[in-house]
Amino acid sequence: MTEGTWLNVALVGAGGALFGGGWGAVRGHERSKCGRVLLAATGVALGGALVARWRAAGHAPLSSQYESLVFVAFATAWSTFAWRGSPAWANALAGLGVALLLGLAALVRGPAEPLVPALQSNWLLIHVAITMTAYAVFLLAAGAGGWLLLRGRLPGPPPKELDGFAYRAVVGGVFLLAVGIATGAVWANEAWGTWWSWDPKETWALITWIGYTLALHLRRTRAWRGDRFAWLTVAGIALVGFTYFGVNYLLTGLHSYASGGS
Amino acid sequence: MNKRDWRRFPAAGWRQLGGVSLFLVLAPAVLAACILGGVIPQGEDAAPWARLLGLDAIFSRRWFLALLGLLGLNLAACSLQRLRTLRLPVWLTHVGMLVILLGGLLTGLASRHATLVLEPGKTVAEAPARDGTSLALPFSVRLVRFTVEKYGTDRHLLAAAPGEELPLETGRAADLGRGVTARLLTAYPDFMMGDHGPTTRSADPRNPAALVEIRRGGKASRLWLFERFPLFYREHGTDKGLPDLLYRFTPARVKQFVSELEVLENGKVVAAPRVAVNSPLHRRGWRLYQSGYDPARPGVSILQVSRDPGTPVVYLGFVLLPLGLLLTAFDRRGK
Repeated sequence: MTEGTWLNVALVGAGGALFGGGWGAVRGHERSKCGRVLLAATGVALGGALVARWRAAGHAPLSSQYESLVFVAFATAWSTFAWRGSPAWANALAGLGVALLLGLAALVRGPAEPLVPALQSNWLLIHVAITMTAYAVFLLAAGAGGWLLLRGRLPGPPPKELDGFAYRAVVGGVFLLAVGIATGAVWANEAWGTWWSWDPKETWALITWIGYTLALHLRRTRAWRGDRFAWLTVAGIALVGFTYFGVNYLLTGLHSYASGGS
Repeated sequence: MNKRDWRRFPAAGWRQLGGVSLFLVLAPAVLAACILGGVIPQGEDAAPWARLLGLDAIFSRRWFLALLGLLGLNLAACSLQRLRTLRLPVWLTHVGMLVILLGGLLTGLASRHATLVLEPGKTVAEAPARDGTSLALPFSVRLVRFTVEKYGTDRHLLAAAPGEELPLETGRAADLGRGVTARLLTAYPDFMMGDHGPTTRSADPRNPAALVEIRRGGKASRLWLFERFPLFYREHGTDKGLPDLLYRFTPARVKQFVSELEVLENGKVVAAPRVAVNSPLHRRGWRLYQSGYDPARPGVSILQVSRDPGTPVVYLGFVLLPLGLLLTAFDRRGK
């Protein structure tokens, strides 16, 4: 199957997971077998798309905005399974996330290009995959936070469950982003001779990390739970969005190759 | 304030120094400073107004370094005060962050960076540092060869009709239709008139030009085609019956920059490393990185020279911090 076919299957699967999981959640079911199977199928299809792209490009498909978006979608689909057997509402959340990410990916899609010298390193796979997984987890946290804030207007799971999910996702994301920043620093030291140069991408990744650690401290020491923590996850995803998209398109730096289709 | 209060002051200050309240003030302050530095172009790219306000080098300003220092003190005091009460994952996370800050301090104080501009065949043992001084290396370096490896080859394209580009090659004539063929004779990525005729100023495609042989009705003629001056051949050519010709040069993408070096100690060659982007040379505490080249001087390689005693400390922090965070994720008590 071609990359495009895999992506189409993933999009259908994500739509199915959204409606299957959403239907289960609205009906008050804790689990949705349909939503879970469809989300797993979405994850498999996204894996297929990444493998097809890898074969076409001859390198790990993580060197452009499009490729990384597909990876974030892949990580979003699979991350959900780490949360207590993937409840129905989490399947719906992940399905919505994957669909949105694939929509964005379609806007910036470009052909597979050979790697520029700076990206020819095994760190590409390690650093980008870990960082993108962190973004996926933060997206899920913001989804849960947003759902929590919309309760009353939107049927869904108990607020406590959404709050717990958002908190666990933020803890996991902070760990993943720390590893992502650390591996990036080690790579920068190998490529440019300095482990930190206050490049805009580095700086914004640090801003995002500090932002989420601040949220965790506020929750643990000032009891910012429920709605307050939910607002923090929404603010956090805005930081992730700027680090991921804004820096590539609005600022120039050592990571400038990350924008656009090539 | 009575005498008793004064005695209490150091203890209270120490408690405040390790307090969460101080962190909740410092972290947003660092965050705000980073946002400023992350949005306002820094260094050479800084706008005049940013220079005027001192916002052109935020990350090296004393107030920013003081903020980081205070954050480090806050972390250290917090970790020491809660040695028995803080859970191990949280304590490890704090210590990891502290170690990274200490490594950063060591990097800031003791690291040395310089730039080596290497010409083929020349031996160099000193590099001009960023602060204007010169760094003496414990060995000498000689550039044997510098090459720019590319994916595939440069492409020359010619369009006689909109959207129909044909590859121009030296060995084979391209059929432009209406009985007209074109063959590439020679090409210059950055055309200029030298003392001995046409030549290229650099390898950069700043002014691509091609000398092309055109055959029309059994008659051959030579044309100069310029990518940036598409009407040049119309104004200077003799064959007025030619179709509109548009020349385009697409250079092959760079695959890698490679410097083949010789390392000399006591006048003898002791190593012959190959330095490329992501493949630095490590020797006697120094690192040499492929950082650039001079398009105007083909064969000249630019290397970055660096020595940073803070790196191992920072790497230790990179192990401790994520380890603490990982344990935090599995710490049920911390929920």
